[in-house]
Amino acid sequence: MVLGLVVPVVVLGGFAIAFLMREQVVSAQHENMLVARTTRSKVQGKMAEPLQLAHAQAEIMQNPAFTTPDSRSAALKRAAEGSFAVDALMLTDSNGLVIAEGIDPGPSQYPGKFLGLDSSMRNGFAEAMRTHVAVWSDVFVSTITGNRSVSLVDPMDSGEALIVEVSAASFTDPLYQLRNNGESRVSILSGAGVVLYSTDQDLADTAADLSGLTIIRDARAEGEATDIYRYSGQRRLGSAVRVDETGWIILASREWNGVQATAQTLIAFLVLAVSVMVFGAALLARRLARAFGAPVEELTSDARKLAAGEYLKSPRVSRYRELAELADSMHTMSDAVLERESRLRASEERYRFLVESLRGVLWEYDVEADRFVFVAPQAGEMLGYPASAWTDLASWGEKVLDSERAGVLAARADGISEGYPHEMVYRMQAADGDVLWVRDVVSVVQEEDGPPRLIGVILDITAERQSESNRVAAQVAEDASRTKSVFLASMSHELRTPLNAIIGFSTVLAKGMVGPLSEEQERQIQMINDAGRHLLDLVNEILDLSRIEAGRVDIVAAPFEPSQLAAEVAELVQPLVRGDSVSLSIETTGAPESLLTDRERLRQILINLVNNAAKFTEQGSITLAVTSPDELSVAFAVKDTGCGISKENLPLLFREFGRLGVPAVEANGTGLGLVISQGYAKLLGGLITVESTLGQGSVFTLTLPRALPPESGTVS
Amino acid sequence: MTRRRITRTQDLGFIPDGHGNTHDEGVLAIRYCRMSAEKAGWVLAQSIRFRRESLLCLVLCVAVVLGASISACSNSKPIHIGYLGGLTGGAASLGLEGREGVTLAIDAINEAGGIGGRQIELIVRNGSQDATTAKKAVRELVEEGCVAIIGPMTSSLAEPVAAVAAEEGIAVISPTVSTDEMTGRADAFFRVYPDNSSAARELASIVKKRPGVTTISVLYDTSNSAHTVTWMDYFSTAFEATFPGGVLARVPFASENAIDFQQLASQVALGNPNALLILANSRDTGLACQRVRATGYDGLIVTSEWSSTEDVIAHGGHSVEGVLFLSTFDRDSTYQAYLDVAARCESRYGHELGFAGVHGYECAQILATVFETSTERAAVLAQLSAPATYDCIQGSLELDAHGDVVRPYYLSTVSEGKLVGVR
Repeated sequence: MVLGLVVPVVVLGGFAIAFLMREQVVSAQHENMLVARTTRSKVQGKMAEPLQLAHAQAEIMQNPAFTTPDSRSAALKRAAEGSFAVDALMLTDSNGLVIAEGIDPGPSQYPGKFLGLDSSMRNGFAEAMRTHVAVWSDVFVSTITGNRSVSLVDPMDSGEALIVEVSAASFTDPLYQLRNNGESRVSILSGAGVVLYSTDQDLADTAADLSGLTIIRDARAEGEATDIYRYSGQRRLGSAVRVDETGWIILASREWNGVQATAQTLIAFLVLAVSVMVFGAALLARRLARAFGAPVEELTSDARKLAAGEYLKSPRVSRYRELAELADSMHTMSDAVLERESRLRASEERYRFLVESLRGVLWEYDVEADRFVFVAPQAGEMLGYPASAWTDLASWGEKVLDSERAGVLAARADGISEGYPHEMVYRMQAADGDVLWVRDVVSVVQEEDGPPRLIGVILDITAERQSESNRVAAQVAEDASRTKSVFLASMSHELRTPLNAIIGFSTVLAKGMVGPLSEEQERQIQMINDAGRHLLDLVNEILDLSRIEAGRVDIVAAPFEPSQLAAEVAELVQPLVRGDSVSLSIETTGAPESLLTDRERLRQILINLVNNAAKFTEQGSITLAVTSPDELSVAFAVKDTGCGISKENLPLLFREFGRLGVPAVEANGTGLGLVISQGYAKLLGGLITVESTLGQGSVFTLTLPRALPPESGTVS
Repeated sequence: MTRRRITRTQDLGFIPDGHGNTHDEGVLAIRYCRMSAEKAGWVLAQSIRFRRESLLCLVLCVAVVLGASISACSNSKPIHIGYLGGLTGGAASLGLEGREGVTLAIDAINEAGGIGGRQIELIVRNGSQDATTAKKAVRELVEEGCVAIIGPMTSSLAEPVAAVAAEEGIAVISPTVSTDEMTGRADAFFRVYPDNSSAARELASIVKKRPGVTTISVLYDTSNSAHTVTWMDYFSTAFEATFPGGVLARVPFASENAIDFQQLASQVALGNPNALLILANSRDTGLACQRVRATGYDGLIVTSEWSSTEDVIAHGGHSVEGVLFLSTFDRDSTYQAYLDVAARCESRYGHELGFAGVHGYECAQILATVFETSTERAAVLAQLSAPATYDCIQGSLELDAHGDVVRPYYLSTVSEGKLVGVR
């Protein structure tokens, strides 16, 4: 900004100064030259007079009235006296001998001074006679006046010549006039360049030799010259003109420094003005720059921040509307960019999450470039190869199991050439050598202006394939179990009938209703009865269980009091408990008031649980606690201080046919008890859970809803 | 940046390619925004930086403008030589011509690079014929910084100039001073011109050898008696040593404006001497010769060198043909240096390089040689005070310990209107 102000001003200033200087110089040159020319004109004017005189006298000499030397001399004398400038007039014959003379009376009053003298060698004589033109001589010291003089030799038609001697000083009047005039110094120089006369005293005194100056040489050669020359350590502006008559040079000069001084004053003034202006401009510009600069710098740094990814927080405030608007725009841009970026980032994260969460390896392949553009990082986990191992199709082919490779590659090529989505199942070899079954699900993408690409997912189906056989076996087992249950259920009747006979008849016999029995007979019949009952229990349990499995258990829901039920159960089991070392108690403080569920089944479960507790508790206590864990459920907890159950055996509890091997206890149960209980519990919408510590005791907890939901079973 | 057009997955706003590249318009926009912001920031930063640069520019511009108006000083100081001679008045020709010779020499030296890169500058003072003026001039020249002075040209100024020179400790070397008073003096005065006695004796011996010359009359200018009277006496003594009483008449005159040469001519022609010795300036000599010849006298006319400038022809016309002029330089010299300088003199000044010019040139050459060693005034004086041989325009010149010279003589004459040498 400042540069824009300063440079033009300085350049203009420079031009102005240069122009003014030139103008000064040119005007000084003109003035100088004018002086030189004017002086020349005046000098030439002075020279005209002797010439006219010579011509006049030449004519007179030819006048028949003037034939004698005396008359001629007299005429010449009169002429010399009559002319201020002319000191002497001489008439020579064609050989240069002076035949008449006229001398201006002055210091020399000596007549006949020149008569008879050979003037042929006088400077200019030979030339004048040869060219028949009046010729001015060089300056010489006159023998008449002792002054510096020049003579004009004017050849006459008659072959004679008229010589006019003139004091050189007469030509210097113009100089005297100039002496007080202005700055120019004017000098008259001889043809060689030696000062004859000058307005400058020193030049005149020393008859200064200016012949070496270029300006003089130029003026001698060309008639006029202007130059700046150095003389006496001073630079001068000079104009020189040649006086053609005598070959003299008239030099008008002035101090160059004087010329320059004027220009310099101007320059100094201009420079001052320019400097002031420039400094003023600079100051102003600085002010402006500062006013703009600070907010602009702020905006600049904001822009940079934005470029670096930092988002702008608070908007900048500026005095200038435009800057304020700019600042606002930048903030709007920043916000927009921020929003876009966060959206993009969210999108990126979402898709990255999806891709990386897939339990399959997502991949993309550029058909034309034969390059895998993308392979999901799961490839490393699944196959043990880094992402860099996936380059071209061949690199994938290598990872396919050797035996299948050819077929797989062919299949892929087909898929590519057909351009339809396809699926392949094959085996791959992991980096550690493991063989995996994979399913490769591929779709083909064709861009408008690009090459076709394959996008696929490689899924590991190894486990699937392996568990296939397991599943079938399990299915078979389940089917078998189901068949069995159905069989048992239908066999129940067949089993029960003989059992009832056994029990029935043995009871009748034991009671003596058929005849008296001996003691031994009674005992043995009782044993048959017990065995029969035991078998009937077992059959019942098996049938119960099978009914449960077949899903053919009727649930009858009726309201009843749980605490009453608990008491009933306790009473029933009491005899089985070792009365002296084990105490059986019930807790019904937290029990709900009533339940709406199948009482009979519940009773069965509870009896089973308490029975088990009694079986396995040597000493301590057995507690049946009825609680309300929440508003909708009820819990029956059977807590005992028995031998407990180990962790390994816990999972076996609710399994069919799995009895705990507890050596000391001869359990009467068939082992189906807990399984049936759990089955009933589930039918009632509940669950039996167990906590146990080996050697300390167990807690079996039955939790079920207080009210059976209407869908399960039948509500009466 | 590649931009992909997705045909099947248009709703995807973002597709990672596993290599970290993103192909999305939104991201592109951000990148363009960033680039633009960076550029804008750069431009703004530049314009702010200009503030500092502008001040520097300003300072430079002002400095240049101011500097333009300051003129450069010249680097090398010139060597100043003074010139003292009569430049105005009747005897000005000697002073002017001597100066011409000096100027030609100095210009030649300066053109060749000067002395040790320094130019020689001539400071000129008009000695006129006035001792007081001359002495003042010497002091002025010393004040101007001259390290040596060439001059004076006339013997009458020799003594006063030498005295002041000795005071100021500045060497003064004269091209044309001939007074015997300066001979054999160990002082600050040196010259390349033989003294009158030796010159007179030389001419006397030449004249004596001329066949048929046993008598001679002398016409002499009393206004330069230091030269003319000494000359006349030594000449007479030498001449009368061979031809006793051979000097018939001694006719004095005072050079001024109204000399009746006709009367003088008849006086000097009295007794019809075999030869005539004229001791006068060239103008007077010329006129005298005319009048002498007009009397019918046809004997030998001889002169000292003083007469031998071209003026003698202008004023003497045909009457000076055959006049013998004693010369201290060879007008027939074939030295290329001399011929070059003579040509230059003719073209620059329009006349021949006469004896004054030749000797002026020689003085400048001697000083230049001395300057090679030192340009200190005292050293110059000391060096000139020692006898030495110098290479000059017409061969070597030997200056003795007193600053006097012994040099060969020649004869000149006028032949067909020109001064020429005589074998």
